Amino acid sequence: MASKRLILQFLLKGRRLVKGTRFKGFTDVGDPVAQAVIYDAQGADEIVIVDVEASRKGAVIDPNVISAMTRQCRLPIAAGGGIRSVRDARTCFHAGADKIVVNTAALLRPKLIRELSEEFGAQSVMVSLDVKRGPGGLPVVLACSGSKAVAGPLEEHLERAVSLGAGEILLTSIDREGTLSGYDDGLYARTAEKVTVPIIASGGAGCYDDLVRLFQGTAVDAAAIGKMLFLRDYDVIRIRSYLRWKGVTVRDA
Amino acid sequence: MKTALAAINGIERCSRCTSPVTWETLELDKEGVCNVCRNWEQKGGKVDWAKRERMFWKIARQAKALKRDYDCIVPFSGGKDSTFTLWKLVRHFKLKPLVVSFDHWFYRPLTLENRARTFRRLGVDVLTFTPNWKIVRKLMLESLIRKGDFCWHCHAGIYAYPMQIAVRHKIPLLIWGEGGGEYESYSKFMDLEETDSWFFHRRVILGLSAKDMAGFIGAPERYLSPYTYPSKQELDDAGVRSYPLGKFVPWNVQKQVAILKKELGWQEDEMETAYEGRTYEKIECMFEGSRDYIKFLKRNYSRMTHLTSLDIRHGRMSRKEAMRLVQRREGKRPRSLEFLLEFLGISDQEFHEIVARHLIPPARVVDPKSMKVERKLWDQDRWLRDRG
Amino acid sequence: MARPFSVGVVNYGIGNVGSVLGAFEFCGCPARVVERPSELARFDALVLCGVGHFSMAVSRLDASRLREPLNEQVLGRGKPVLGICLGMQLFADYGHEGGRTRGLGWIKGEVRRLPEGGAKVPHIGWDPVLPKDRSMFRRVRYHEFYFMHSYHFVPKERSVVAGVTTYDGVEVVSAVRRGRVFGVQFHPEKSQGDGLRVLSNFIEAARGE
Repeated sequence: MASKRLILQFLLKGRRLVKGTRFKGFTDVGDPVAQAVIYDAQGADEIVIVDVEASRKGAVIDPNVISAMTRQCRLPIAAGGGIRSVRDARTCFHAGADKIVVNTAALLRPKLIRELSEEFGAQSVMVSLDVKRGPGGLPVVLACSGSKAVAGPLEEHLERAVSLGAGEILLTSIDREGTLSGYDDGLYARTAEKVTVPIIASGGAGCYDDLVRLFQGTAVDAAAIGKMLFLRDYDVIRIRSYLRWKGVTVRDA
Repeated sequence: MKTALAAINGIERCSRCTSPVTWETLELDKEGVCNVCRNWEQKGGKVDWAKRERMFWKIARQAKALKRDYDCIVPFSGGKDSTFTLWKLVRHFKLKPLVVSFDHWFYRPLTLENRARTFRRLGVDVLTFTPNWKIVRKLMLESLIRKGDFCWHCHAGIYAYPMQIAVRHKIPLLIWGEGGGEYESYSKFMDLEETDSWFFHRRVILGLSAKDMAGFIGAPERYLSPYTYPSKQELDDAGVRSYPLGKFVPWNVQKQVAILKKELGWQEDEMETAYEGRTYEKIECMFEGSRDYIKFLKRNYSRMTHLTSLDIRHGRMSRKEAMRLVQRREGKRPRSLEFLLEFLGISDQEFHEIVARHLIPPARVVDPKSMKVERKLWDQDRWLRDRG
Repeated sequence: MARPFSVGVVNYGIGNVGSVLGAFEFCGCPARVVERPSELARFDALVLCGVGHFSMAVSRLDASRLREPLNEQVLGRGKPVLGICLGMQLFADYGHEGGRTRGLGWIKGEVRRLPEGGAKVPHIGWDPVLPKDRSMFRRVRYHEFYFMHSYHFVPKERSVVAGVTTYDGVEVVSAVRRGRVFGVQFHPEKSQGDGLRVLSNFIEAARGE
């Protein structure tokens, strides 16, 4: 079995990385390149960087940030924020991204996933879905950084994304995002078994045991970590040691 | 909230030493033995120390053959490790070093004496750098808030500044002290890693670089230059190699302290958290006790655990005896904290709120009011109180 | 003084060459991008990388008129070459991604889709490589590398297998070697320290050290 991946989630706003709670109330958490170098050295498995304003502004994530990161780091980097076309995606790949992340544009125009997948291969296309628990606890899919609800059950969105050629799903629980209160394990237990491509859980990591519970209780392939690393006294090496002690398969790095 | 003793007794520990599972990078195996103890087995076993010393002689010969003003740089604080390193390099390996000392601002009176005595007896050139105090104060508070650790300026400055000097003065060799793997398992005795950029970013700077910090405290980047690691290009151009002596010479702190006392008149000092016969570690910093206090609140262990674990591994103490010492002496409130809070410019309550946010479960929240207060250090009233 | 050893990273409009250039630079052996067929001869060693489809990669390679000059350099002159991910898959006789397409045919075999049903496809993540050709994995510490693929190389002869990886029960050939033709299914340029060690080993082998 592949080692469970620990993925650093970078939110880019202007020239700096930020972190908030439920996509609001952002705090500066550093320079994207400096932080990438640090987490590369700590042995993170991957970095996902998304520009949080690009989509709303009608822009695409700055390729200069991507190229500066990829030039100095030796780990896979997925980049997103405002990607609407094959051309936008190509700009990111040329800058050095290994994968691209699409969210809002893929919800508004699902065929974009197929176009990207055919051009760059499924393994390079990560579809990001943000969900919030609605009435009765049912997950509702949201677009535009969680501000706009999209019709249709989560399962339908997942199936469509995979059938159109998504190579990976980044599934974020907005309810938990930045709260440090643990992953929404129930959300991932239901989805990770059914979906045939790797799933990355995101939102809520706050301590070692949150990660242990996620990996032992669900079939997700990877965990995205943000605030726990940026604003608490943890590092990737310590997290790995703890997970290994608890019997979770992680890479030695 | 727990009392200190309840927290001490409530945490799972290595069955051989006293390290708890909140110890950085600790893993227990099926027998309940931690990876630091396992790593320790390699130290006596597989590592060929005679070969390692020959390797170091070769490095020393190559450095001398360059015939520059200095053979190497020794980053120096005046604590037991850097003093031993300097002594060993000058007296044993016959190197002519430039001593580079990043003054973290908190040397205690006895440390200043130890430093001066060492420099006089060994006959070395010394470059001491003192960073901007106003920036230091901001960095201390910022790193406390972000990482529950007020020592970022010291970690980053101590490791980055001597590298800058190496680049600037084209001195292509730096020799550090302890080789890692004594107290944690970030590195293994078998690995011959350099103390390089990778190590700096992985291990030293708490996930925060100078560039990050400049933004956080709202200072131009050039004010953070003492904390900035040279680029790969700069280091490659100057051909800088940077090794810990502990990878070439087996580290035995107690023996080394005895040598320092005999050869250099080096003195131990009173400490807020240590037991008799072990008062030689981190005496170069006024806030050793406060740092340990934070560690206890975050991870439910501190220096008593660490010192007894070392004593157990060296076969100098039984685990039972060690646990008794930990239970009796760990988890006290230090008097140096009052001083620290003045420098940080925050109240006692604010301080404890910040630290509480940094609890590392399975450690438990300890009620600060349940903790006994340590005796004041002999020299605390002599420390300079001026906040600048 | 001897001319510095030069590595050319072949850019046929499909690869993510930036990371590969960065990684070679890190190894102390700066590489350059090769775009024109006439430039191939100038380099001491070549790298083929790639992201995307087999058939699309082949058609781009042909459109750039690189096939014959590459054959000439690699087969004719025995120039060392390293294929990364899709770049390694192109060594095969045929690929099945985007319809059956003729590859470079430097190493006998086919490129097939990873079997569905068991493990997740695409295979994305860090997995251990069991070395068969030790020289390609010298000094490597943890033997885990980053993979990102839906198709895999099935060589005809076992003798070319330089490393294998078992991914959820499926055995994947993760490294191949035939003489001076080296290929890896994983991404050494994205695999931190061990990845750099694999690249350094290639550089040393290419230099004949």
